[in-house]
Amino acid sequence: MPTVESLPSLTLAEVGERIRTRDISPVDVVRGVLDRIESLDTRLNSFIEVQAENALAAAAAAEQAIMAGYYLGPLHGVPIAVKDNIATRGELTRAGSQVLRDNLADEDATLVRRLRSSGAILLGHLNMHEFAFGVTTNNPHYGAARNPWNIERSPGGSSGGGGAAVAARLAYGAIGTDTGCSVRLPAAFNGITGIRPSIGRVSNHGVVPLAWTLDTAGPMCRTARDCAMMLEAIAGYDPSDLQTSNVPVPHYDDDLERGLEGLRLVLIEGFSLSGLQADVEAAMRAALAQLEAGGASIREVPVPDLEPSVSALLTLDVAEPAAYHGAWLRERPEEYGEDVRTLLEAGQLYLATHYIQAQRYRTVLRDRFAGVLRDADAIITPTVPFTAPPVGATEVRLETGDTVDIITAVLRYNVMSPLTGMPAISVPCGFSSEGLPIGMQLIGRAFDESTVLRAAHGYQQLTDWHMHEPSL
Amino acid sequence: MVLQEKLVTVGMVEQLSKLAELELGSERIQIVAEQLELLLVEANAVNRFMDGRRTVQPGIRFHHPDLEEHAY
Repeated sequence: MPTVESLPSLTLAEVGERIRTRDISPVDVVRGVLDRIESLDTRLNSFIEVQAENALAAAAAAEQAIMAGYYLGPLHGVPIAVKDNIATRGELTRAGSQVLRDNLADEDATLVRRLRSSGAILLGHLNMHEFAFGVTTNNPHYGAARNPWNIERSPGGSSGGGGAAVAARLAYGAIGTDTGCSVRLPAAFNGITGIRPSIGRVSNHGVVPLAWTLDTAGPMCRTARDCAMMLEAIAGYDPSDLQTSNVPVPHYDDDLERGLEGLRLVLIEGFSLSGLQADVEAAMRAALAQLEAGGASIREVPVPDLEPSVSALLTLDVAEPAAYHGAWLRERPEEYGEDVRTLLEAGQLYLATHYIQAQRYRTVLRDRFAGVLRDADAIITPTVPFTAPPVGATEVRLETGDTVDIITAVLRYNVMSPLTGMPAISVPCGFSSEGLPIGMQLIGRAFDESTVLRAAHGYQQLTDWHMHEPSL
Repeated sequence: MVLQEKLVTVGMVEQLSKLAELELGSERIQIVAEQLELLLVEANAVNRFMDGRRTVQPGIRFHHPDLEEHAY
């Protein structure tokens, strides 16, 4: 039996199983992570608010229910946390902003309601880039979140608090939101697993929007199996969100154990492995060899028309937030952080034609990817071409020698999934010589999260990158 | 730069810069002008790419084998 001190090192699936078999109490599990948050989060700043009393009360209730034979499933009694833009009833949902500092939610977001129905215990709200509009979680109002592998480095963003918290074992899982990269980027920088589901798979009701046509929430956990369990709990049609799909939600666990044998994976010729930091390229090449050794086939295919992808994402991801924030921006612009305010103000000045052209480009890219995925199961890229930059960095130097804006740089491989609506997962695939995590991305067919989860799980059965723990 | 891009980029950014010279809050306007100029480089790149692809409609549609088309 694990000691209370060792409980946080278990994965979500492991701790859930021990709660089910009554080996351990949800109260001890919650106390274990709360103790860890208290001792470590002053350095990481991954939480904006911890609801310790509520979590302990929910844990006691879960314990009573389980002892009485009312077991709700694998999340029952497991403590997790949500990003600060996800509403939890009766609590502040600030979206990392001052603008919403008094925003007391009068109902749970649909995904929170579903998590609670599954028995999960909410620990509190996680730090994030203000309004999810950035990639660093260098939050001017609640402080910068920091990377547990090196606290001088950024955890990425916008769900940087979730990445840092899960990597540091302060929660067994987190829910982030991803508009351009915001689940997968912090997953890669913090050495955890994060899945961006298909657009329409998870309800956005009760989630503060960034860009309506790109946003989706997704799980961030240690393993693909953990992500599968959380995704199954939150996915599915929601009458409160007309964008959600009625495509049936499978039992994701069924496919996980099918392994890598027979999976057809593809690299994008001249793109998937180009312009990478040397450590990232080495980790990717090693990962590809392991996938092949596990039974997957890998081939390179050309995919034309990728050139304007980052430009299109930026256009949509500035124009839509500018529309959402218009009134607040006129009434209280001084409450925004400088970076977010400037982007929103500039975004007011796009032409309608800019926006429409970017939406039309999505159709072109979707067709290209759908074509590739007719004869393949997933497309492989790194999640990011480099490892976590220093806290406060606004630019990065690429392998090409160019110094570029950090937002543009991190979007290179991340934009494909939000533009096409297709699901993508980031899995840890190594470490740099500086000890910073590296992530590999797998992009799958629309509504086929099962296959990318299966591929990620198969890879994690052959490797232990996802089990490494930062020393704090 | 084609006329369309001049109208958009030079027109908008220069007007903002002129406004910055004339009005209170000019520093703020200049910051926005500089940001806008960068964003318009991106937006114009998409414009150029989509020029001539007249049959492409905006929006994303998927077909699921068991269901009617899901569109959003």
